[in-house]
Amino acid sequence: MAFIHKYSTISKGNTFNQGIIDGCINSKIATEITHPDYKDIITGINLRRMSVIVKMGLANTIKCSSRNKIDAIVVATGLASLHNSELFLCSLIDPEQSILSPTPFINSVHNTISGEIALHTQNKGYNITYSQGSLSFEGALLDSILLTKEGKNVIVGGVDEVIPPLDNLSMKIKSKEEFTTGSTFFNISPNKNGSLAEIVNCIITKEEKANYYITDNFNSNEDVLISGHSTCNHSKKINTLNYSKFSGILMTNPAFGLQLAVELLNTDISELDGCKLPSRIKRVFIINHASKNDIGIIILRK
Amino acid sequence: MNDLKLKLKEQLIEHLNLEDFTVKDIADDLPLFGDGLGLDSIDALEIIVMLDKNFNIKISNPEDGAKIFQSVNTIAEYIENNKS
Amino acid sequence: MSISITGLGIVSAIGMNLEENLNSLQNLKSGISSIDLINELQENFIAGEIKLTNQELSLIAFEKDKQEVFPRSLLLSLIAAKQAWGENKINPKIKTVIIGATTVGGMDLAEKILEKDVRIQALAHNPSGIITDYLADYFHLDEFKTTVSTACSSTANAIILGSRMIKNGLADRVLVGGGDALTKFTVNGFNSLRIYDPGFCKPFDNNRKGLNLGEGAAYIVLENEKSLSITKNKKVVSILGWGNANDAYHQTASSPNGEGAQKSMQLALEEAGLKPEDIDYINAHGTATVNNDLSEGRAIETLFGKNQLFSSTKGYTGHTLAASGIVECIYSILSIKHKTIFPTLKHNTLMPELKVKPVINIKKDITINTVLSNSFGFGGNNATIIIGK
Repeated sequence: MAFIHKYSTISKGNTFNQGIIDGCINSKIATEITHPDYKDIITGINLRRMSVIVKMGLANTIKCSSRNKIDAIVVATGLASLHNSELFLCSLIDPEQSILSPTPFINSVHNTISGEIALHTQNKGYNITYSQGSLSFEGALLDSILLTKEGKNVIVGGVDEVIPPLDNLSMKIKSKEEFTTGSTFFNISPNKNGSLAEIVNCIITKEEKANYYITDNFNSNEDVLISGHSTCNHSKKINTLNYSKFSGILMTNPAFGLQLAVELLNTDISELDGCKLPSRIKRVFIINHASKNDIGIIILRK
Repeated sequence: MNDLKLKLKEQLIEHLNLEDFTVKDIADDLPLFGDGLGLDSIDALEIIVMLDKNFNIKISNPEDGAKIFQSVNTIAEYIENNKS
Repeated sequence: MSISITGLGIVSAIGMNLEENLNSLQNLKSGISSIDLINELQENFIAGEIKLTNQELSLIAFEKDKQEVFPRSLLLSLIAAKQAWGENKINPKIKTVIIGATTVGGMDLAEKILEKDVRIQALAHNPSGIITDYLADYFHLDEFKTTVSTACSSTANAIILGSRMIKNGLADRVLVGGGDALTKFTVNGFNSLRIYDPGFCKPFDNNRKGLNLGEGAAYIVLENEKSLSITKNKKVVSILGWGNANDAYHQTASSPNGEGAQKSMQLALEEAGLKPEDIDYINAHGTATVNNDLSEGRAIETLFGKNQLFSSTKGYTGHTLAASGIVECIYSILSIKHKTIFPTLKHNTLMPELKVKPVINIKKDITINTVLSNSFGFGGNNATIIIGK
């Protein structure tokens, strides 16, 4: 019902130009986030006010747009513009500030990304932003699936940023990955023709139910499981690829995982990052251990 | 007065993040809003903040901004006339 | 496929439950006053403040003393959600989801912290989703959960998602709503935009100077027929239609002719299968900013004509940001149930640009079958819902 036609990622490595497998996983220089030259992509004077997360979301949107008319823009963000939230908070505390600058305030609003995308592309259709921590992207994806059921073409994506103090804090989860900035967007439509993959399901559930679901549905001969965490129950029995290792930790990185899944389904590849893959991949399961008991599952097939 | 105008242009570029512009690109009489430079209502508020912080000029009614902020010339004139 | 509203819960500056809110509405009692509970505000702002400390809210929410510190928006949301959920129970036969909404989230905790690194940690530890996370755990809602964050149209959009999930068979029952507390961040934020009226806000008045903020939370329960047949809950009203469209005009301001607003209202009418003349009353977004009321007023006049009955209830509660959509949905329900149009308070002078006039005196004993409610947020986000008998 919901078919992915295009994707675009800005992350560590040269993902914007080369995708995730070539630009990030198989690249030896994927240590820094690589931003495209936004001036080449985003024309006009409005660029001056855009925060980093808006630039990423908009650049990805422009890259994902094709000839089909876009009816909806759906954005997921866990923490929105931390930079601007912190700037405005700082100004509130600063005793020298008798008059406050409005720009950081308006740029801290969570739906600035989806709003600016609509403004720049002059898209007057459905527009929404989801912010549910590490499950933000799953919410956005579910709405996008609904939208395709309603016959609409959708641009959907996730974006989050890190600011220096977050790096230093010991909020790292069990894995050793660092907090990072990144964004992945997709062009999704009800049309199967010319599509790269089909979204079969997108659910949010608790760990126990998730384990049953995977056990009941996953076939290790033809399916691949990619997970946001290196430690997960399934990895004992199932060869698991860890996408957070490459995206870094950001609340909306299941979007990165989804693009990786699309690439896996469309690339002739037998092994990736030491993980053996079935010769013909039928489906990819993207598992997001959002918190200690909440699990997001996205299932993709060719 | 020319020093003031130069300073104004530098501060506009910095405060409004006009990365692609140099002081040479902003003529003294270039319309800042609408068809000239293309600034908007948020920029007008930011210019009010800029004048307060850097020149100690307070503009209590944002609607006055429409007249005062027409160009670098008009802003410079306003500053000269309202220096405390 | 009918979408019924069966449970209601609301806390605002004019009442800590539905009955208190109704009482204030009927008695023209505004809840806007000087802000008492937030320290170190640079000016004397007035707002629709709930005159209870976090400790007092915590006691109401949890019905006991709890040591843990929670964001104020979470406490307000929990109180309202408990009222709405009432006696509902988890049932494997009824697929139940929860959709929340907030702008402020846990910002009130972060803004109290002076040390930068700790402040950023607080921001990151309290993302927008924590309120819905908490409520989902509290009500044992273990499946789909999400939080909409589209500024002032957040809860309207949350209601729209819930309705579409029911319509498309993805849910049988939805607990939907949201909350926003007053914060230094938002009060100063709107003031920095010069759209905060130092006096009482005057929606649709020619001399309006801007909004007054408010705080509040509200939740409703939506059910399809299958859920109703099992829960035996009573339908209050139905959700008939909805629309969401983007103005794509400016980062924060609305287009002068309200094109985005017209579009969201038009889409809602189409979804409901109704014509403009079928709408008995419009609960406007009506924030009292120079920009919104002109834009929205023109949109209403263009689509519905100069005789359309409409009002803004923000003079009672202030602008409750993310919660405004659901608070005003509930006030629209009260209008239907009590055959009353609650007026636009503090109105003195009509806007010369508009022929359509807001209701400024309470109108009782008027049959209202169908109400349209608007909520417009930053980023050109326009959301409209239509409810009816």
